[in-house]
Amino acid sequence: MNKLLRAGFSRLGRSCVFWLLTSFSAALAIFMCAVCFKNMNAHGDAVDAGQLMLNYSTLTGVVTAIFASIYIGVDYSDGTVRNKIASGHRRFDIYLSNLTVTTAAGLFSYVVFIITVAAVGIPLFGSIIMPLPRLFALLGCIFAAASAYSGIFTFITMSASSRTVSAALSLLCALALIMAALTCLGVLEQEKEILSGSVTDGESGEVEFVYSPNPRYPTESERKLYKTLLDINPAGQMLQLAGRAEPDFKLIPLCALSEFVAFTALGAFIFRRKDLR
Amino acid sequence: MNKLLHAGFLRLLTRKSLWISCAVTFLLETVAIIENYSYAKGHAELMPSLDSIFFIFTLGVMFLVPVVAAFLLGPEYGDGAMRNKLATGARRRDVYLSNLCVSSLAAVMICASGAIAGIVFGVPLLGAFTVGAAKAAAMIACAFFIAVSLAAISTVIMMLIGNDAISSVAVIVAALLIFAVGFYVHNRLSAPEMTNAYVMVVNGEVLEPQPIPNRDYVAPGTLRTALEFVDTALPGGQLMKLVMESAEHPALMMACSAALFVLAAAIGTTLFKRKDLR
Repeated sequence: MNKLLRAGFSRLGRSCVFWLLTSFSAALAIFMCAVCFKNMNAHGDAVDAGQLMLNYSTLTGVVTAIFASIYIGVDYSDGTVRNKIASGHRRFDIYLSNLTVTTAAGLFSYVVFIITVAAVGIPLFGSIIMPLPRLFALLGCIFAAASAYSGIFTFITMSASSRTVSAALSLLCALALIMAALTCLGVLEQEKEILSGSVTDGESGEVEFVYSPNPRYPTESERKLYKTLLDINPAGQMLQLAGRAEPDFKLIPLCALSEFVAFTALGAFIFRRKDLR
Repeated sequence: MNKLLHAGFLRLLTRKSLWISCAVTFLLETVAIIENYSYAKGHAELMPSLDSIFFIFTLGVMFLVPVVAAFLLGPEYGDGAMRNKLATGARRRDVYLSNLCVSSLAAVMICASGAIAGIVFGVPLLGAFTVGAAKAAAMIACAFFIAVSLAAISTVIMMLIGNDAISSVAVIVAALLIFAVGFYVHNRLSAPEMTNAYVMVVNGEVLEPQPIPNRDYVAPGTLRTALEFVDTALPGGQLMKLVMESAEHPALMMACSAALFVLAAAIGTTLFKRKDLR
């Protein structure tokens, strides 16, 4: 296991994809700081560097999917997985080492983002406004949700029958999770009454607005269902942690770590029986 | 060329990924129509027009066309089919163009499944298009042009990157970027010059809010012209125009998609001729 991990991290250090994605997270941090700084100067917007540190969380799924499918996909295409087995390594160890490297890569790119925001944002916007215990709790939950993503995408890439299938499935899964989370949030954010307007005078632009009951407003049981779906979904967890809704600091890490363990157990089980050809 | 096309089409029709993508696009459109209809049933003022729902399926097309191209063309390198084709005397240009034709046909089939669902379920439930039959037909044709131009972009990426794990990721990330750029540009251009620029009557009470200059508004000038070009020329912007009911010049959009298709095919053919296939 130690040898596999050492080889994995050594490969990670030389991986173009890993450095590209890490550079992307740093570049995104600088870009976000620049945009916020421009808005602060032009419109007097108040900017909290602490809030900026949370914004990358919504993209973590796509970044981890890209990394896992290329890093582990190349492992398959070059025959490295077969060589590892031929040299006496257990399949479970191979799975765990790939999972560790994928999780470490995902977390590292997030840490780079935080450091870049701190280095660029704090001098530009002043000290962090958000209470530090809350910021650390949010970042801790984000790291747990990022680990859940790593568990899911390692499961897909290690279990899929071909590299193309694993790459496509991972990315589509990341997008589908985001779409599902946005749909759940959309339902939960529905107002009880809606303001519908119709133009009554085309020349003066007079519009008559009337409040009416919103047919899309969820019932109590629907609300519970959508909230549960949002809490289970890693993309939903990330959206809540990024500020779209008040997160549950106990439930989110619990859900994320359960998903991490469940997908790892399932993935290791499937990989043990997989025909590697 | 004929043999390559024949083999390509046969392979396409046996691909599960194509049929699953067609089914997903069909379902996406059907669910969107039925969901909107069932919520607005009994509230005539909330019933959406067919125009506002019909082009939802293009969102599926945006991501499924690259995925099918990845499934179709990815194994060409991995299984050695590419080298075998060249070894049997097929010209590189023919190999490229046959793959382009096959992925374009896949794009047309995926798009058609969404459009069929829109007509079969949309017209009876939501009524006919409010823009008129001719403009509706032109807008539907635009959706097909967008799908085919996406197929051309996907083919370039798949044929020029030899590693199927990397090319599959690259082609989907490219679709994601095209969509993100289109979404951003369309939103910037849609921002009105002033906000609160209307008189409101809320439950009988007349309100006249003070108009406020919109800080997101892009004033006429070089930036707006550049954004309008991107909005009209790239598939992401065109897709947003169809979904947001702002496709004012379908003929121009189709011309841009056709130009993009030809450009991608020309670049792909030229670079594929020089590619080292190992």
